[in-house]
Amino acid sequence: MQTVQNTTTFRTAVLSVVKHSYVPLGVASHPRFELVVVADDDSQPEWVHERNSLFADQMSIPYVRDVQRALADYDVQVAVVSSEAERHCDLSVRAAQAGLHVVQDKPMSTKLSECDRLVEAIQANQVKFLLWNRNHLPALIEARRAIQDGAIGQPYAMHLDFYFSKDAGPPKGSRKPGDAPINWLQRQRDAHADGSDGGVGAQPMGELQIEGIYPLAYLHMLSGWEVERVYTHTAAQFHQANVDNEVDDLASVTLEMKGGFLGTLAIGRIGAASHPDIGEIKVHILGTRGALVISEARPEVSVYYRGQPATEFRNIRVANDNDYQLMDNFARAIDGNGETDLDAPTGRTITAVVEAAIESGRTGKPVDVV
Amino acid sequence: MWTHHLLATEIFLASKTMIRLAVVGSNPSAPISIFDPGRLLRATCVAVAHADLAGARETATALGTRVTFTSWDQLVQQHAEGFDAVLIQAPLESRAELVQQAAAAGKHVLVEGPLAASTDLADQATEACQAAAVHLMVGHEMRFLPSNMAVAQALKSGRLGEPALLRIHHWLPADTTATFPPDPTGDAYHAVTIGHLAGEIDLANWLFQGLPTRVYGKARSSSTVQSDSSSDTQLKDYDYFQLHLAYPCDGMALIDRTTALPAGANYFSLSLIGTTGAAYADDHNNMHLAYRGGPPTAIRGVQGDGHLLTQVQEFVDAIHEDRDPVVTGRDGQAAVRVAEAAIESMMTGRPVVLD
Repeated sequence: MQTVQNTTTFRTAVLSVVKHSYVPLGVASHPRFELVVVADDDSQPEWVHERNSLFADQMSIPYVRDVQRALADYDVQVAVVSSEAERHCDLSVRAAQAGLHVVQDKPMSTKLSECDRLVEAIQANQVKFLLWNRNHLPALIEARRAIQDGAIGQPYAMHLDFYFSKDAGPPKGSRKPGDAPINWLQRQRDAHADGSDGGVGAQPMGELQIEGIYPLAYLHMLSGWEVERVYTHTAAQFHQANVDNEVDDLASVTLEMKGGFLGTLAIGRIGAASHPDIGEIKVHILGTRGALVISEARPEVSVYYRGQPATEFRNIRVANDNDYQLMDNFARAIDGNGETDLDAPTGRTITAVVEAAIESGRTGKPVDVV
Repeated sequence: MWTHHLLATEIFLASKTMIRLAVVGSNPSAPISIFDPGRLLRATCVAVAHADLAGARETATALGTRVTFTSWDQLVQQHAEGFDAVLIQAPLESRAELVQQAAAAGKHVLVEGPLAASTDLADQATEACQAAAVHLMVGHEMRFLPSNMAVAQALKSGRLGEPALLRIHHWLPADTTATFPPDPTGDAYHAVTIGHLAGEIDLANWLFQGLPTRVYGKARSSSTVQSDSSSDTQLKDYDYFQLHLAYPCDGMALIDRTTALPAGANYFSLSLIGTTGAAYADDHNNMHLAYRGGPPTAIRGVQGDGHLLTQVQEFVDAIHEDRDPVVTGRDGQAAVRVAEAAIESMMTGRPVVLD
């Protein structure tokens, strides 16, 4: 019997797009999602409107400086949120309350209480929520398949390396006497051009908070383990903006899971000089009958040539279908086929792990995840 | 050319005074004496002492000598003037005592790592060598692996800046040669656990050039997946360990080690993130492929046993040059001390602060 594929198209509103545009573009990579409007609150500062307007122009869709009006006027079923991190949940909650399914950029929020509010709104309005992630990268799919096939038996320990070899403004130690501390938001705004503005927002965030979702989502997908307790060391070793704003750019975390499973996370924004590509991103998994060593970047193709810019990656990732697969999963969830790959409760749980890790780094003690 | 000429001259002069090495004991799992004696400069192997005479003869033949003894006592009583230094490879429980006996006999010592089964014993061994004015080197052989030496050299050159985050994965198959006393006590398991941990700890201490200030350890059995390790305080069950170390200047290290891989090859990976660069020494990046139908099989590019020769050569050179070897007794004592802190952390569930 041939399966009839649902081809319903979801009209999608982009609620703020001040960070990279990869999330709304990822949404648009799937034929069932059509970006029809960009919207944001009129009260937002002018730089926000400029970015929103620019993206709207690029996509040849209107920009409306009134979220509620845009949602009412454009007959949308889905919202994609890519604002400053501290506004993520509020925009998502408002979309959910309007009956829209929501795709949201990471991190879920800078506050756990906001995550709780979002979880409640998603459940109360019976809509679907997807927190953007990298779980459908080819290497992760291979890892999941190997585990499911029993290649290493029952996993009992997992180690995650998530280093972004990117710069983030002036290096540590570059601030001269009398210089003002680097303003976090301004630095993030300045970084927009080179794409290193993952922490855009008024509230400073360390790498644990900005990127921790990705490796912790790997842990969740590959094992389903529940993190109960964490022990963390954090440091600002590389970037003056992190030093000035007292947030980490390097962290190591011991992960203690329910059932006695163990693991670790090493994460950092370690500077462009530290790797020829985006960074060393690996998953090491130990099981009762073997072990897996996975490089997130693979498969990749190496390209070298005369005059190659120093900032150009020498190894190019290929066969990356993450965006489409994420949105396909989201579409199927909307169609009634279960939850998304990274739903609101799971996103909230990961945020709680990150929050506990930051607290542990601050206190030097193990911290229970709540 | 000038440098080459000087080196050749030095070697010629040095050859006038060969260090005579005696090998004491036999330990297949930590083969300190596996090196090509023909490639050793300014030293020669002159005797082997081991309770198993057949084993002693086998080792002696491999090292180019025919002089064997069945015990340390016999070696000292009958051949004390015939050797200058000893390579001790013995069960951990007896190492510190053998070191002290060698020091008392005025012999320089290279002892396989860990130095001792406890910090106190390591102190005693180290102090005995200091009192006797003999050189003590601890055989933490991982320092001499070519890949680790390359990382250390990059760090020492300053190209990587200060060490910030060290990550070590070391996975091994179960050690089928490991033996326990007939009625093992908690101390025996304590010693075995120190044996599991001290090598990687020494590597971390070396790269950070100091001791950690805090130690957090977790351990579990790989075969009891559903058990709660935090309630299990029996070291004897553990074959998986992970350490989380804090070093001065915000340095940090994550180390995981298992002896539960299926029989076959081991896996080693070391990455060092420095403040201005990084180094990645990972078996994963050094694999060949074999195609024999079905999925390809990985064949690891091996580094060989050359590091064991390098280790012994360093010991010999330190004696000749009357300097500390790169792995001193204090280094060996530090590794044991940190391993003991890790065990304490595993048992209590709390980080241990080191003075």
